[in-house]
Amino acid sequence: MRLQRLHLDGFGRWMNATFDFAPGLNVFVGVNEAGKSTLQQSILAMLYGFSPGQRANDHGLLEYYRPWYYPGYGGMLDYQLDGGHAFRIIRSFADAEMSTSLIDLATGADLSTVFTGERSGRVDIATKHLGVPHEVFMRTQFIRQNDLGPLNDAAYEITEQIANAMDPERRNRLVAHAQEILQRALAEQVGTQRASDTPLALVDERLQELQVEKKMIQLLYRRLLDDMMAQTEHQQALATATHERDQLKYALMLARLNALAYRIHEVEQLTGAESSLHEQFEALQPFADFPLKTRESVMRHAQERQQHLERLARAEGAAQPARAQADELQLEVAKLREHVRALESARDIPLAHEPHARELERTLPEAILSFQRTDEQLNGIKQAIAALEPTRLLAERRKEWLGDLDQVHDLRLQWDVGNQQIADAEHALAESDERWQLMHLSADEYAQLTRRARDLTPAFVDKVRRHQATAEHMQTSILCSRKRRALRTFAFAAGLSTLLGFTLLVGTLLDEKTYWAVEGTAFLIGALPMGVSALVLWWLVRRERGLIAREQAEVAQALESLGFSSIAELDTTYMQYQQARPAYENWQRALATLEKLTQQREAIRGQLVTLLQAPTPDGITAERMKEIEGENKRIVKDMDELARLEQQREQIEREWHVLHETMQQIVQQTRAILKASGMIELNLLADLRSYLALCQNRRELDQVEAQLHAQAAVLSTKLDATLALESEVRTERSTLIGIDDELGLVLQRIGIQTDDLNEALKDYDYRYEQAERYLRVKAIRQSLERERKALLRSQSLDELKQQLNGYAATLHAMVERKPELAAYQSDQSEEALQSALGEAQGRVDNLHSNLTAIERRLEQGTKDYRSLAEVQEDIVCAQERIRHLSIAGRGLQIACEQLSAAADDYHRNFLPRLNQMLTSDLEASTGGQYSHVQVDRANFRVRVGVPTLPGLIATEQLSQGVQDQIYLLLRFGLAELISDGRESLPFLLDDPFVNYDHVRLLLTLNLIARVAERTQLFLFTKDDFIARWFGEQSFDAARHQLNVLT
Amino acid sequence: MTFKILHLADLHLDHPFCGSDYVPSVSRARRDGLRQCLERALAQARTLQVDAITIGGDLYEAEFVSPDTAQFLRAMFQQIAPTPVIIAPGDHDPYTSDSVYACIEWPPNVFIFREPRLTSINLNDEVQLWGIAYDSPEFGRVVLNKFRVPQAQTAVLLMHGTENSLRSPPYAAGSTFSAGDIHRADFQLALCGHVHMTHQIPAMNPLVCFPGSPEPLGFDEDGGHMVLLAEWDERRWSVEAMDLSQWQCRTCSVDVNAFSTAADVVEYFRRFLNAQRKDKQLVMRVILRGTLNYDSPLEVNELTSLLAQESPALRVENHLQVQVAVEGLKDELTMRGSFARRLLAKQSEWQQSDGTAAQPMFDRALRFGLSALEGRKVTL
Repeated sequence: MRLQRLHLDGFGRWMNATFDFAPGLNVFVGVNEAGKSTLQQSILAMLYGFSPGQRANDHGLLEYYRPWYYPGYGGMLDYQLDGGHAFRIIRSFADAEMSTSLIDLATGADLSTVFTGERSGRVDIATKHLGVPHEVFMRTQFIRQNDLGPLNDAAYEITEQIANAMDPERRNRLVAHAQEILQRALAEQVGTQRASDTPLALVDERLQELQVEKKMIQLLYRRLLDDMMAQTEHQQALATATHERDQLKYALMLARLNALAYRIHEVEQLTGAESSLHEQFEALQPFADFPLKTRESVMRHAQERQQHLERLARAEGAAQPARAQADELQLEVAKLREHVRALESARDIPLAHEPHARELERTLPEAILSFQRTDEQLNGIKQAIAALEPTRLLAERRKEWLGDLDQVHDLRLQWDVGNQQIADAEHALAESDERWQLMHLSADEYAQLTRRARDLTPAFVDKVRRHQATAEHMQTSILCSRKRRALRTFAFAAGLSTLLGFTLLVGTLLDEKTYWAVEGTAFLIGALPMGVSALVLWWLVRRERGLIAREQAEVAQALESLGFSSIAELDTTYMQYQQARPAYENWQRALATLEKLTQQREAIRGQLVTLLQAPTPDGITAERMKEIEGENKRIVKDMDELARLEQQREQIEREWHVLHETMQQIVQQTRAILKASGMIELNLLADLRSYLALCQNRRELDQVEAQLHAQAAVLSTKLDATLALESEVRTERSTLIGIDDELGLVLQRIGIQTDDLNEALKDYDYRYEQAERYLRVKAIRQSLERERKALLRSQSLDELKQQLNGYAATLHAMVERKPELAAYQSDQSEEALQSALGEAQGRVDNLHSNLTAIERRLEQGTKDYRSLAEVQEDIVCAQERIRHLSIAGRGLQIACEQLSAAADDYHRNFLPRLNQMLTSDLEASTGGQYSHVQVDRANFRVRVGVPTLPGLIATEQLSQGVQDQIYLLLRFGLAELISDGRESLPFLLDDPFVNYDHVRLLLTLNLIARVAERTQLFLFTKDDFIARWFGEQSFDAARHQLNVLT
Repeated sequence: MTFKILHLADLHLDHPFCGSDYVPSVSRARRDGLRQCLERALAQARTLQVDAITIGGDLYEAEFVSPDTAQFLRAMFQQIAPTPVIIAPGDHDPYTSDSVYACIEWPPNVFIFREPRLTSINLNDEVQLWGIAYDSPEFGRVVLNKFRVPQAQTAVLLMHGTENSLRSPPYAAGSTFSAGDIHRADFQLALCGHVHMTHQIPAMNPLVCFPGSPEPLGFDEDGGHMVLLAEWDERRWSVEAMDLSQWQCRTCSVDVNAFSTAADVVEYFRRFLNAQRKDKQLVMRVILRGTLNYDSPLEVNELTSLLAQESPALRVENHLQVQVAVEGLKDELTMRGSFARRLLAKQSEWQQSDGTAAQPMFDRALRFGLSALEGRKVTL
């Protein structure tokens, strides 16, 4: 994925701002408050949105980044997936709905509804397009200031994210593409036998056609060979039949010759006696013209006709059922051939495996069913165990107190006592507050008072007061004492005396009156003791005043040190403090007591809430306690059930393994059978049943083929018989027509209408009876004449003799052609011979007909078919092709399956690659100082090899800078593993290098530049060093860019 | 009195050229060539005015023989009448009740041995021919053990079988004997069939003679394909071999690793073609050998079509070994490495379940998978 452009309507400090991103490294440099972190967060928010309902932190962030002075809150982000498909996410966080739209930039289509139709910020577009959930993205791609550290809390999610390569949303694109190539190759270049237009199916279909063709050609060959055998037999039979016919013809001719010679002899005898019988002849003159000679011919023809009619009826009667049976047999043979063609595919199926396969057919479903049942049972138990998992967790949480509810009771009592104490404390607080309020002091005033009066101890105040009292007393004593009065008196007196003295002296000087000088001097001398006394008194007073001043200084110093201007103020303050302090302290104590009690109660509340999962301790009533007790019993019961289920699961797992092993063995045996049978495995049980069905078909094929051969033989015999019968019918019909024609001709000559031959024959019989009567009447002459005429049969004697010569010549010729005929003699009558001759001729004709048919079939031969060898070549070629395609198809299937498994291995066993990547990167970014890294898969704790130490050490033992480096590299490594073969993920780094020295930073920046060559990377920093580093690199401006935020 | 016999064997009429002998464009012509070869042999017999023609079995392929062929044989033998034609059926044309031999009414000059034991006919007063018929394709009986020719005539044996010194996998089946057996049985000459290349044992004054198939039937029959003229001069038999074949099968083995381009291979093949006899029709087989990497750019199909342009009667067999460095691959921490490890782990399992097909399956699966991982189109 590559982020292309971000436009923010409003987000934190950003309003109506647009950023175009480079596909590689994007460095954003700016001072504090420039909006770097906001920009980083905005990208995240545009990708994943906010989910206040799901992520507690998001609600705070949602409000944190809400613009203060601008109603718009949201923006749009353009990005392009690695496949080139570009999208735009438009999000608004201004209102509670947090509407989100996704636009396909290629088509402009709004795809928002595709994403579950939810148009809130929770639409998980990024999860689908990036392939990682928000939490994983946050822990690997999104790095904030001081955020680098262990990932143990997200280890499971990240591991799952890396490992689940076959998850449809996170499928490894490389593997998916490879599998697609393999599947396409399998579908286009191999396919399955069940499909209709794939190479394998086409070859298989071709093979089946060839095998059917081969079978047809074999049948044809067999039939033609049979014909060749039959041709020989027919030729031999024809020779025999022809010989028999010739013998009969010779015998018949000989019989006719003998009969004709007898007739000629009789005619010659009767001709002499006939001339005397003329009168009788005249009486029956009307019938004189009746051709008696036709009688024999007509009768013979009539008899022959009757015989042929009977034969025809018999032949037709036999031929029709025979034809029907032959047709029926042909249909049956055709059906059998069709059946053979239908079963042809089973020809090459080996039957040796059938008993085993039949056993497997019974055991395989049972094994699968048992396994599935056990598997379902196991899954059911696992689900039951999983369903009890919360109970187990609850039991673990409660296990410390689960057995002792007294603690809960104690806590409950403590809770009640605490509540009472809090009530008391609140009451005390109210009272102390009331007293405190009477002080009319604010907290500040009391604080100020406390500051001023905190050092005013009673001793100090007493001392100050004592000093003050002393000073006042001394002051008072000074002012009111006799010393002071004496001093004033002496001083006055001395002064007065002095004044007087000086006045007198001055006056004396001025007046030059001497008397006053004495007085003046006396005054002056008198003033002297008074002055001395005054001086002594002054010294005494002064000393006392010093004491007073000292006392007062002491007081003043004390007051000054405490900030009091006067003792009165001190007294006032002290008194006020003495009054306020108890009230305040009582108030504070009450407050502290209340707070302490509240904390204690909160602790109890916490314990109770934690232990009992009650929302508030108030809810922990007796009913609740009973409920908890009940829950505990239920938990104990569930735990017992859980133990029982675990035990059951172990037992069923053992059974599962046994059944799984059994099923695998059966499956292997089944596959072996299918392979031996040349069958492609698609659905094991179905294939096995197909195999059994093919075995059944194979046996049926053998039976049907045997049946077919038998029926074909019967059909051939039946057809021969039918053809013979039909030939006989045709012969009879032909003969009958000839006889009818001859008879009709005879009758027409007599003058009888022959429209109806039966009627004509009746008419003929009537006339003949009349003629007979005529003959009987005419007596002997007529009898003689009739006998003569009958013997002559409308022929003259010469003609008879000529005919006799002809017969003799024919017999001579026959004997000359076949001398063995001369030895042939027959006792049969002429009619019998004639009949036998007809039959013999029929056989000859029949054999000729059969031979003609055979020769026609042999002549046709195999012209319409390819040679069997040619078909066999194609069959072997097709079989080789099928074998080649089968192996290739199996290879493609295996490659496809193993690619899935390999991808699973590859992603699940990612740790060596992660270690390798981390080792390489850490070595590069630390200048080779650290050369070996090992990551714990369970918690992503990293251990590092230090060249000077023998083993690996934990990262916590290294400096913070190295730790940051390692955890940054760990995130790079994990991100690469997550995006390996999938969508590449952008990095969003917010100043993660604060703990780096310049050397490390430089090495790390170089590493980042390498990472940015393959992945988009955003680096937000306030460090000018990075900006300078960027400027010093000769980066391609189209791929990397530096942005300065102001 | 002299006596001349023209002997041939193993004509294999209607033979299907399957498997490694399959060259589709010429199969039918080669089958026609077998018939033409028989015509030439009979014409040669007429020219040489031989006294008898003997056929030492495998005249046709019983499984594929057509009635046309049967009629052709009948017509051919009828034309050569009255010269006797004596046939000793072999394993490919055994004498059975439904065989062509039994179904056809042969001309009188044709005599077929029908018994699965030694029987004899007298060719004239002096020469007696003994023969035996296979009654099934699996016939393997030892027939000469303790056999002695009963009469003091010139006895010639006609049979289909293998002399012990020639036993090898293609000719392991059938009846076997040794030249010593022939000698002990007092046969002066044994005219045999079954071995498809000319052999005379011993080479001088031979006692046992195999003419070989008159036309080559496969690429593995690189030897003489003759008919024999055996002549009795009242003292001994002399045997002369005659080459009547019109076809030649040649194999050109090409190691592609020795050539840099497909054109070089074609040039090499062209020179090989030019070195062959021009008076016979040529059927070529090119065997491509060598080792290629699985991602080698050499297109075997393209090379095959280029070679086919040089000779239409060509069969190209791809025996190239596709090389994949599995051992190096399995240590890679890549998807390829993971895939190779997976396949290697499964290989032994397949060998147990699929037997000999396991290795080609493994090779293909590895090659297909690696090609697909590299995004290349997979070709079978």
